[in-house]
Amino acid sequence: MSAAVNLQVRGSMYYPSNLGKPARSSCSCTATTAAASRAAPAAPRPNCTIFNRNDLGYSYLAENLATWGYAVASIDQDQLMSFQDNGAKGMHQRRLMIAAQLDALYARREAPVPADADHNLGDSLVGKLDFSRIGLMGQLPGGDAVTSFMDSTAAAVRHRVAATTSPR
Amino acid sequence: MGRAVGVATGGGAGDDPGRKAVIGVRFVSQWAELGVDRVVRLSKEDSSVRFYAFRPVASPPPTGDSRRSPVTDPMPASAGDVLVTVGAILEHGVPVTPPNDLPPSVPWRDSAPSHCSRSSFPAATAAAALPDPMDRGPYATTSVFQYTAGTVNLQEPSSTGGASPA
Repeated sequence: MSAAVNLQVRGSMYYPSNLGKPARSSCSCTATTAAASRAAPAAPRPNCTIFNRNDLGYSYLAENLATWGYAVASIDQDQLMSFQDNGAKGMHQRRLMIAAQLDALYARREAPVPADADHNLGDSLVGKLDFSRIGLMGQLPGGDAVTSFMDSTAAAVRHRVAATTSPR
Repeated sequence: MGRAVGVATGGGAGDDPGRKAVIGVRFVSQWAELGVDRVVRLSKEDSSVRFYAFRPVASPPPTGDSRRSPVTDPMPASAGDVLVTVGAILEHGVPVTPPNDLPPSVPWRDSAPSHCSRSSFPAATAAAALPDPMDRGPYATTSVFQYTAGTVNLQEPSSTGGASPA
């Protein structure tokens, strides 16, 4: 049996500064292509040393959505590249990471947390996210992760809209 | 076979003319009603199975080219175009989510059962009315270029794929 590993819940976030009410929430999972995985065969776990910020891939779209009142978290799943092959192996981890991200953001919406090596949001999100309106978007493996997440959690999660582009 | 997920469009898939991808079909009992004559299983992961369902259309699409731009080169409607919808079709601009009816303190995992709409969407026929997708809204934004929000313990997958046994 393989070992368990602790991964950091992280990404980039864009939210409206002057909305005046909790913002509709969206998570996006950008691409981690098979080619990218192959390009770093010797990358040490858990971090890929070459493609380590693909959460910035759709920053232009996330920032635009924020101007319309959405809080968008583009989640970093590069850490999972070491745990997948060119098939479906590892997709389970991607949907677990989506759940962990939503859990973590919900916690930061409810209460602040002191800054440390794994926390830097402080009280910046307290009361600012509307978790009754969750949208999910993903591309390539991120698209697979979104549909996989929906299939595994549809009975319990009040996500309303999911979009996938080019799922593998 | 086209790889249409999330949208059922008029004109069919480019490399499978004469057929149309159907989404939102979740139950076998719906297949006959919706005219599905072929189902292709994509993957099985844990307890869920994902698939594409297809049904024949009355006539092949005029061009069969799914790569045409719906904005600058919209595909003419075909007599065989039939939109399959599980949920409701809303006019452009109508919010797809109902009003927020959950108290803000309800944890998202304990919320009411999902009302996720697995709807298909109408083909873009009014190209002139489409908004510029990069138009900006009225709100100023705050960006956090890397937030960190804790850690998660994940089990590595087994060598045969999927999740390892606990």
